[in-house]
Amino acid sequence: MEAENLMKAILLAGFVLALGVVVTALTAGQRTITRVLGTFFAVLSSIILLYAGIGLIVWGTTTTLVLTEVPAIKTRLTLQADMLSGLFLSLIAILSVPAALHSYAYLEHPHYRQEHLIRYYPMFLLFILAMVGVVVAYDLLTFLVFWELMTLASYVLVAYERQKPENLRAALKYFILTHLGALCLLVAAVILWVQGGSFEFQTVFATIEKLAKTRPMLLHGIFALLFIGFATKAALFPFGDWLPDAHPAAPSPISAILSGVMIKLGIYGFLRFFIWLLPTAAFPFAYYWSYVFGIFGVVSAILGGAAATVTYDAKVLLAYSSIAQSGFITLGIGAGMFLFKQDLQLANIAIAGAFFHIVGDALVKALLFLNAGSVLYATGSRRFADLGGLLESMPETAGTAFIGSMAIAGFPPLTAFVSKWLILQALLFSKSIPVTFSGVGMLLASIFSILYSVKFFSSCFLVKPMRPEKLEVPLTMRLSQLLLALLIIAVGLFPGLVLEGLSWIISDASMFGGAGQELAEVWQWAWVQPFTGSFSPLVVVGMFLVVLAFVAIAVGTERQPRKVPIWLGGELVKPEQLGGHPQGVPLREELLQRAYPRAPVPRWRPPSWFVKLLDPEAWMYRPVISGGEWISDLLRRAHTGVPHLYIAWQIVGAVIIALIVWLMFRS
Amino acid sequence: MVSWQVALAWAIVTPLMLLAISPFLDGLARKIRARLHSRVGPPLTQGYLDLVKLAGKTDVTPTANALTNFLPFLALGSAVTAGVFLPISDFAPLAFAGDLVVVLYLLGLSTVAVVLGGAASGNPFGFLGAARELQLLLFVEPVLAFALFVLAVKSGTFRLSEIVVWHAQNGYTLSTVLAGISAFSAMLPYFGKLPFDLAEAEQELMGGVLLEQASWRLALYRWTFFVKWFIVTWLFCELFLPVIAPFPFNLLLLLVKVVVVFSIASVLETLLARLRLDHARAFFIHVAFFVLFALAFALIGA
Repeated sequence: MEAENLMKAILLAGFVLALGVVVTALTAGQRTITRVLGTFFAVLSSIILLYAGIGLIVWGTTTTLVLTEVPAIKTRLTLQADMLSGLFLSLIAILSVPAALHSYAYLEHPHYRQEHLIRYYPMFLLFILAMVGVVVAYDLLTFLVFWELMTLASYVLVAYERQKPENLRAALKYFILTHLGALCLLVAAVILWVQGGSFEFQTVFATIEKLAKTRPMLLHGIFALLFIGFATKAALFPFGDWLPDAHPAAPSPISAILSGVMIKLGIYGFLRFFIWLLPTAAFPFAYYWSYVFGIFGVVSAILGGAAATVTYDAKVLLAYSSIAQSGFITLGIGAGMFLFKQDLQLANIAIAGAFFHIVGDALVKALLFLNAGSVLYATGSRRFADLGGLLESMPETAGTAFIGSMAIAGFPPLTAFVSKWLILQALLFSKSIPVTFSGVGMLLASIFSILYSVKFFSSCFLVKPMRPEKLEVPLTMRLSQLLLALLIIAVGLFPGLVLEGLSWIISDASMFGGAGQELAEVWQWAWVQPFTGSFSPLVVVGMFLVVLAFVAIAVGTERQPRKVPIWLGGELVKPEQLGGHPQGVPLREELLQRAYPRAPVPRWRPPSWFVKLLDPEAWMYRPVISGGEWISDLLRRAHTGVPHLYIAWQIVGAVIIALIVWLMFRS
Repeated sequence: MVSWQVALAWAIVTPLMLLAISPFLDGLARKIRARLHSRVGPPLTQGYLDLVKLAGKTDVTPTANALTNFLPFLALGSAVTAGVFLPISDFAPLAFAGDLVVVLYLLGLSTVAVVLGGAASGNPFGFLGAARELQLLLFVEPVLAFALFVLAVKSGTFRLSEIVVWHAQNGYTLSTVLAGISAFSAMLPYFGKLPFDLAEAEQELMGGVLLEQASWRLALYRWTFFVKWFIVTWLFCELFLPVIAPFPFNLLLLLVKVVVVFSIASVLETLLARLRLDHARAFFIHVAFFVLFALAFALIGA
């Protein structure tokens, strides 16, 4: 009963979204009406989707709907929503509300007013619809169709500000690279279809089981294609090279959705194909592939964190940080896949950490992108050199950004702390040397995340003398940020509640089946207990309040501060000349090199191939472009406009086809 | 397991005791430095007197807003909260399975609060100090964390009190000794003293992160440093010099150990000059490799 209702709810939400696409496309000339309608449709569908998503998790149901049967490819196009879909449906629902609210005022910025809304709201709703489709698709064909639809809609959104050539370039890069990933998925799907005869996930499941017994190398090939396809979307290094280009180009609410949910759908692909769809016979494959997950996870986490620490642009910083957080999640999943045979409890902890990080990072990253968008709205820049000193000008944005930065840095009692602790716990006590050392890498990446989160907050809001003018953004933008900040605090203070729900989802997977009962007493309300003993963030908060009380008594009552100008040791410097260089050390290159010449000690320099490896655009993206140009040039040369030549080509082609047919039917 | 009454009493008494005892370490350090300089030096209570004097001063500041008023409390609060999770030999009422990670993160939060306070003042010297402190954190925090991970891996738990018990029972091994040396060298930057007082660097940056802090805010930041000195030394003493003793003795022993280790650090402070940031970085990269070898030894059972 409930299950049918939930599928109906998902379909209703899809219908609302589709209706929204049509309606907003029709009214797109009228800006105000379109913005109101677009927000309305997004919020309405989100409420329905949230009901469906939470319902799927809480009732633990699976609901199926056969759309139509295509006899030609022996496939029934099916929608099926289970608990894993429920999690991602809830995330889509939770994040599309703030994004819609934020875009309501954001698009009225003079900067964006010249852009037509027909390229925003219909595409925004279509984007949400496609993401919903991806998580409820239950055959490869539907999955790929929605996957492509998602890429297409987000491509238009990334290229929204089409006057700037760098935005178009970023969007094209995004389009090409994600299409390479999608191509890998398509090839994998076709191989699975050839081997199994159908695109349905049931048949895929059986096919994987058959291949695991008969043709393991082919299965490894399929897994490699799937991994590349999903890693491109999940923005792991080096496949996620499109992300740092696409985020600055996209409008900020879109960045929030891209980073909050869409790259998490790559993770969804990992979970669905490497864990949920895996039959028992293929479990050893998960064990092998866990190494790949771990390596790519650690490398992405460290490189993303390091790259985020040295960038000069708020949204690029957040984009690199997305790569790093994606790496953490992948590492957690990899640890779960590695450990499930040896130590189911530890595996469960790792995968629970990964799931918690999906939830926490979705909220935090969306919040920070909205903050960056607000700063961009207020000041017209996202470069750290132009920002700074905004704390008193936009106090609410700064307050929410403070919560977001502290959360992503992993400080208790906010979200990322619990997930990082859980993953670290599983990695360190795995009794396997490489896995323990991946924990070392993860800790390094966590320190990087402290660094770049502090850098993001202080470069945007502090560092320079406070600006006197009031720049606070409109109400809907503040509301969207406040909503996410409150959610982060709630999830951070009651991680046990969230983890309990997540553990139901995890025990739904066959690899971790039965572990839910085993760990049932472990996740308790507001408490987290990885082995024994418990932790409540509330304890930290309570302790903090105790200290505050003592200190407040010791410090005494409020006194009026006396305002003085900034003290510079008596130097006469104008206030606008103040402020740190974003790199941290002003004029480092120009002055310090000469003032403190480096001692001639031998230094280790990374080899040049390693430095080249760190720039995937040079060795991954540009060869694709030049290769494409080369092929199209070859094709162009064949088309000279001379009829004789065309006839000659046709004859040659016919001969070749006849030869192939003759070879095929010779026997 | 201890009863909740004990835990509650611990949660209220420990912060008070930490706040009360820690300024004594400042007096001790200054006394030691003065004696090595052949001076008489201030009385041992100088830390308390400084705090009282600072708290009574007029607040003179270029920026006063909710965040700059909150950050000193955050710094002191997180440092003291980290202290509450530490064990006294095997006695730790609020211990749980991940308290090592919480302590590390709370120490980091305390540092970050001081850094943000320096950045919020708008003073370029404050920002320079903040940037240096952050860069130092990148190299110091992993070293301390890896050193603690060595013990965690050896004893198979993240729970500090169990690590102490394990270490006291099994004695030193190659990996724990290496980790202890690394942890001691990582402890010095946490003190914010020479040779690693890059964030304040009075001679170059005029106090750096603390330059624009005055009155009660400066007092709270100073107090944060005192508390951090105490709990970092406490953490080091309990984990790397573990002795299991019954109740009154373990507390006394802890105080003795803290005073001794802190005195050694103070002597080092007087003897050494400040390192430049790149030297400090190079130093800790070497220590990091050292401690990673210790971790590798721990994993193969040495």
